[in-house]
Amino acid sequence: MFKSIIKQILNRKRSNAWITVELLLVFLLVWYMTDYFFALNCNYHLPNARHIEQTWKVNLARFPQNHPQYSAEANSGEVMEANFARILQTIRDYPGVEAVSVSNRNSAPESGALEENGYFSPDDSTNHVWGQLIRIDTKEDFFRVFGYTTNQGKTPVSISDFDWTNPNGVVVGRLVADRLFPSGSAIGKALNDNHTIIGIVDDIKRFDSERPRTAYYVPFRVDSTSLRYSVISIRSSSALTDAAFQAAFTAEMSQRLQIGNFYMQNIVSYRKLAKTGVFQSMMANISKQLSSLIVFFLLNILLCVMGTFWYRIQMRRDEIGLRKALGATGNGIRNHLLAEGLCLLTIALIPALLIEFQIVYADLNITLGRADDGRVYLPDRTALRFLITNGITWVMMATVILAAIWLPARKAAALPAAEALHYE
Amino acid sequence: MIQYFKQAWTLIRQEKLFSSIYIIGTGLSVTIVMIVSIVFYLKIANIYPETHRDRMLTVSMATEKSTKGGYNSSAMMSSHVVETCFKSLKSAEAVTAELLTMVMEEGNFVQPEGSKEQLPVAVRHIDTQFWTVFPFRFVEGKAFTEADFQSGIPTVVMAESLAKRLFGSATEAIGKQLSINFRQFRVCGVVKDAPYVTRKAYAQLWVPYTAHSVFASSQYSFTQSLGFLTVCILAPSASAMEQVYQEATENIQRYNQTLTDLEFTVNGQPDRYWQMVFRGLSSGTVDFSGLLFFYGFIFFILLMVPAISLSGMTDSRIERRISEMGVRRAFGAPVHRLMGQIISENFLFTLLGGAVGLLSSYLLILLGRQWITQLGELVSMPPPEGIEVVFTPSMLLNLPVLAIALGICFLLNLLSSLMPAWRYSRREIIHSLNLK
Repeated sequence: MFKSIIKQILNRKRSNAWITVELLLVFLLVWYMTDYFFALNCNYHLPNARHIEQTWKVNLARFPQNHPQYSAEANSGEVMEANFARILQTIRDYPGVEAVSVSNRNSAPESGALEENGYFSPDDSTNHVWGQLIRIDTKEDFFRVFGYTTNQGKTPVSISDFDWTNPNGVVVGRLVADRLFPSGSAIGKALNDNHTIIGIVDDIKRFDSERPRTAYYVPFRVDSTSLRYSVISIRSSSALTDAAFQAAFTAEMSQRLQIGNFYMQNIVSYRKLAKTGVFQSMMANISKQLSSLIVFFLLNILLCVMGTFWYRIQMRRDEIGLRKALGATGNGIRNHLLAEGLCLLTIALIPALLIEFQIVYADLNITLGRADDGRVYLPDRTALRFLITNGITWVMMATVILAAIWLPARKAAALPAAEALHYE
Repeated sequence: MIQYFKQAWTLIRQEKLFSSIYIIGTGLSVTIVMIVSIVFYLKIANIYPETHRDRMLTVSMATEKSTKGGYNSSAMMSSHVVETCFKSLKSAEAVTAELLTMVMEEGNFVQPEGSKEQLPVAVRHIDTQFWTVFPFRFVEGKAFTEADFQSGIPTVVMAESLAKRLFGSATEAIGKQLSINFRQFRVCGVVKDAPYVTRKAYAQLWVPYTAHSVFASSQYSFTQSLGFLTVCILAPSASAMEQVYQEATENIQRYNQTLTDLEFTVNGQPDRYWQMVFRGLSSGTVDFSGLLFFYGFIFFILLMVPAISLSGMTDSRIERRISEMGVRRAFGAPVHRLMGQIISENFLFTLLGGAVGLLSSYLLILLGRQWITQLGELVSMPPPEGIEVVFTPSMLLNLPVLAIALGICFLLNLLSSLMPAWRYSRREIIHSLNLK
């Protein structure tokens, strides 16, 4: 069967050349995009020690000076701090709120801002490990709000698990500990000149599409000057749906949180910020555009193969009739045609692999979040990735080709032998 | 020619399945190319109220750096720079400055009377020249005056849709007080809504930037050169843009001579409007020819993939009629006439496909309107919550768009039929005749 298929393909090499070129071109394009999605999808499935489900950002604002309710007295440092503390207490007392945190605005999840710092162990001052600096108010529970864990996700963490009496205490991510102190425990070790590691939490991903990254958690003092850079985050009770919590909280707290010159604008879920942030929406936008392109290219293949095979079967009726007369079954004829399509795909695969190899060799593939941090993830194993992404592409293309040939092939298989022979 | 079309029509009716596959195939490629074209048309062509995009220049991000190295900061511009370098342009028809505050604020909210819920709104902080650069249609009232602007009087121009929502009608709104972020503004005018795609003009509320709280504060400018202002320059004509560009560049050079140890640059701006669209949020210099090459390459691929598949189908279709060609050539038809026949026959197919494609591209654009304007952009902001992206019929159905559609059909037809036509019409008569 294989021999006769090859022979038939060669007999119609002109028309097959068109299909093969089209298959080759589309295979390359679809493979490149599949490869991108593969690497991206691997990142999405890496665990994140930070959980933003049911967390909310409370947007506070202050009355402008010419507002009738503006009070100059409430603008003084002490009163403002006291008012802010009252706001926190009011939020904490709200029945649907499980935990409250205050952090620097740039340190809140999904903010898009990035503050970084490099630390080193005094034993080896050449080994600087850079990481995101997350500045949190240690009087509130940042770790509980965002569902942090330690011990590879086994133990939930609370701010009170660490001893913050030392103002230079630093909690580090697991990745930092492994890189600074590859042998032995990092807890209690000194950092830079005067900092001390007081605890380790699991690694976080800055965005879902990225890989886990290095992070340092340092105390953030909230006072009248740093207030404008602070943000309040809360975790709502898991018993409530997001919509119910948001509606109830907004309705009740809008008035109650008008304290001093502060007022509450609204609350926004971090899940939503994860969709609307500049970087996040850019990633979503790219994914949408690429997947539309994949669909467009595959549709082209579908139509091209369907059209050409339909014509081909029309012209080969005599041959089909002859084969039927010689005892071929309908299924046999259909399978023969389907095999012919897959054969064409395989012929296109050979040059495609050669070109892809060049692309991989020139390192033109996109792997998001690849960093030289000593951790190897699935997309970093080049040969395996090459195999998997080509396999996925082949299966996608083969499915489309089989679907395209199915309809005309069924018609050919159903052709009565006598009528088909009539064309001979 | 008419004869060829008649013949092609008969063919279509004879081979319904194949013809519909071919027409859908053409329609598919026309759809995707049309969507891209329409989206870029919406981004770049003159559209109300950005009716002067073709003679507009913009400056958004600027950079200040130390000539000794080390310090390097990018932000928008201070009012000092805007006054000395841009407001002073003699060759420009109008120059408007806008205060962009999104860096400092989370959002803007209106407090409707008698409602606890605050309403998120899009607010622009602008000057009076804005109304010259963007000729809005006033439904009621007028823009705030130069005197209002100079004294920072809290006045506001509203979009018609918001006026209707908050006050019932545009007429009702005039003279009313509106609370924006707990400050009272007097409504002085109502304008016809700007569509979301007009990124430089779009808003629901327009207020004088002198009325913004940040204007009076010390943070209004970071440094002598950097602050919160962006600029839109209107040249008297499209051809005068180069002159405006030159003058602005000279002004910046002159300004640089007054600085010590600092260099101020706008990284190749003022941009033409299309350049601003491609620039995105970048604050550095942009390689526009590289970008154009990139978009050109994608456009080429989008055209080539369907062209090859259509060529393959045309090839099969003509193959069946080789004997007919053989007969015609045996009776003396010249090669170019046969080629002409194949190409014009094919053109009918492509035209039908083009019509299908145009309709389906409109359908997809309307269905995907909340997202579609982000097409072709990397960094782009989805419309804020509660904002419906609206396309008016004139934005979609107009001469340039139809011309592009027809042009694409023509190109696609040539690409997909030239090769097969050339090959088959030159075939030896004997071979062609022999096939039957």
